[in-house]
Amino acid sequence: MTTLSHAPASSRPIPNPKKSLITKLNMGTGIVVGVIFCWGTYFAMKAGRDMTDSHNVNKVLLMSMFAWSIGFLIGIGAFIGPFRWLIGKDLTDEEQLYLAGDGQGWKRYFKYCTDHKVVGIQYLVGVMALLGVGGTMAMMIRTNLATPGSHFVTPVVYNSLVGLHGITMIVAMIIVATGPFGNYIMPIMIGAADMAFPRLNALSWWVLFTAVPVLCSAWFLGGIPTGWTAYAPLSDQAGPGMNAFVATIIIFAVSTAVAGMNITTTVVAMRAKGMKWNRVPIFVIGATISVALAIPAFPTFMVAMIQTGLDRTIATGFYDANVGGSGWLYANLFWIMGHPEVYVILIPGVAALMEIAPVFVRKPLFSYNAAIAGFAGIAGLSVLVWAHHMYMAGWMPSLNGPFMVTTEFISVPTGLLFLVLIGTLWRGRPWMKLPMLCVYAFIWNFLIGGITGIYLSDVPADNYLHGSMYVTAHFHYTLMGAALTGAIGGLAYWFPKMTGRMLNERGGYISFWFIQIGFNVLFLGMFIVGAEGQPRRVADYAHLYSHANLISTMGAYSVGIGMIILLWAIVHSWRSGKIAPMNPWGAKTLEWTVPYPVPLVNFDQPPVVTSDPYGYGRSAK
Amino acid sequence: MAHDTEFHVHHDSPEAIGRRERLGVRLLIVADGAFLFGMIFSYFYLRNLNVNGGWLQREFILSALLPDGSPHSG
Repeated sequence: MTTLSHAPASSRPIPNPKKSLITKLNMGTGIVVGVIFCWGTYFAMKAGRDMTDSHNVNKVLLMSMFAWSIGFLIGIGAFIGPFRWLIGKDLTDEEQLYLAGDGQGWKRYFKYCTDHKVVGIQYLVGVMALLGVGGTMAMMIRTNLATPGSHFVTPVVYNSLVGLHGITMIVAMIIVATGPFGNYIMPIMIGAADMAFPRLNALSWWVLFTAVPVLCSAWFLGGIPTGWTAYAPLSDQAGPGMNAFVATIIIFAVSTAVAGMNITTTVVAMRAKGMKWNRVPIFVIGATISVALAIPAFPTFMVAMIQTGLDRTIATGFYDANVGGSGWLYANLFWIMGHPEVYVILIPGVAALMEIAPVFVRKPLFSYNAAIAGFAGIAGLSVLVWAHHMYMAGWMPSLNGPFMVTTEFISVPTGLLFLVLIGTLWRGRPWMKLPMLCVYAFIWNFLIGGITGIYLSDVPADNYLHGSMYVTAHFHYTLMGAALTGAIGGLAYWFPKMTGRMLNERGGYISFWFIQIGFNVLFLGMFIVGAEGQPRRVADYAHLYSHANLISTMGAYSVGIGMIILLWAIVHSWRSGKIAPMNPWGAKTLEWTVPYPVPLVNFDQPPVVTSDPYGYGRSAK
Repeated sequence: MAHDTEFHVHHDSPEAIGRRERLGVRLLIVADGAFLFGMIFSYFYLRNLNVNGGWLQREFILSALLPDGSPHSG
């Protein structure tokens, strides 16, 4: 990698390599080339094929989706750097500065820009868009469940809504903290001038971007009837919309591998002088463990999806028992990824709140080592618990006991995270700003999410509760109540550094209470109907559950209103909010030592770290 | 690497770049290894399950256990 370096903005020339192709490429050219590739592949493959055969339809659609992705990346200029290197004409310094978005204003957000701050903002906007789409589908689901009888949508549409809501939210939540903060804030936190591989950083975002239209195309291809887990052989037999799911996951897995490798390498190899491992901010540790866990986890999901794609296109039969396949193979591959993925989502959110808590109680982080042990313990155990999702599927009943033990054991490192947060808050005098409110909300929500998870890890209890709304409520408490609350706290905390403005406090508070009260009304009610036997993923239900469902739907609307207010607060503050001082919270980590806008190379001089970042109330050591 | 006179990009030392690239490639190898593990796991899992005799006919499995190797003996 190269470190971009230049004189102060006032005295330096603006790079503008007019003869270079990179100046002519942007998101628009990417879309044009992507669409040409997509339709070209579609018509070329369709010609001469019997399109009444579902295998042929699947072949044509899958290849067209991959062609869109590759075409878009070519069109936006993702491969210009490697191509120029291959032919021995590497990018000039001026071109590299141009690629970093130097002096291009807002246009750089629509280009293949290598500046990690730009990539961070791209992720932030992308995450908000995905959460908006997934949240709208959640509102539709809850509207349908407000009264029995499935009056709002048909059961088929409901199935697709559940599946698309699930996968959209999972994708959004995987990147919700490591995307915006891992890219924008984290390199500055460790004193690095840039990410280890800036071009790959841009690649990870734009590859992910290409997956979004692919996923959305499922709506026009008949939807996905399988839920977000896409269990086989249902996914083998599903209609054309399933191809969108398969292609999305494969594309997303590539993006995740590239991003995970880049973030891990940056943290390991590019920390500032003096930043020993015990001086690394806890958010950086959490984000790194999260992406390092994703590196081996997602390829198995990719394998599962490639096999699904092969079954659907050339009838390989990986999951078809008629020809020697097995649906349990899919379930194993999926959950080998699926359970670690829960922690890939959760850990950065918790880590962000651990970063916040010491700042707002002006106390050192309680037991930094316990926090790391908690993260590492969770990450290590998370790869040994996957079969608890299959207790009732009949796969290896003899292993239910061991998997129950490993799953219940994961509550020990999880308990360490509570210990660290509560120990940090203990006898502190909290400064009750929005980020701090999120810490308290997290403790409440994650306590409920964690304890209800212990029941589900228990084989006899799971025998009764599996497949019910109880499970839905449990994982929403962990993913939304804990991880999303952590991400909202992180956004409120780092918003001044990312936008140069303070987040509107009144809007933030109002949205917080709408979201948190609504969330608990929504999902506490769901625990009750789940424990009473209401199945999940079913459009209709017995009248017995109608009152609780109506209350849950009212809670969902409250969450929706809160999210709209939060979105308004973000947009309004970003456009015309109060100008933020350089360090509005008086924090001690490195990102608060740089001005806004953060210079292209982050620091005028490479920083030297001489103490840990949580030395509140004590002299530096 | 081309250099302009007007625009200057600081290039890190080859050792530092090499360290990062080695680590990055090793991490990608871990991802590839997980992918390979998924494929190998699939093969052995399905072969071992042998659903509906789709991988090895039941007679051949029996024959391997019998002393004279005949699928029909006994």
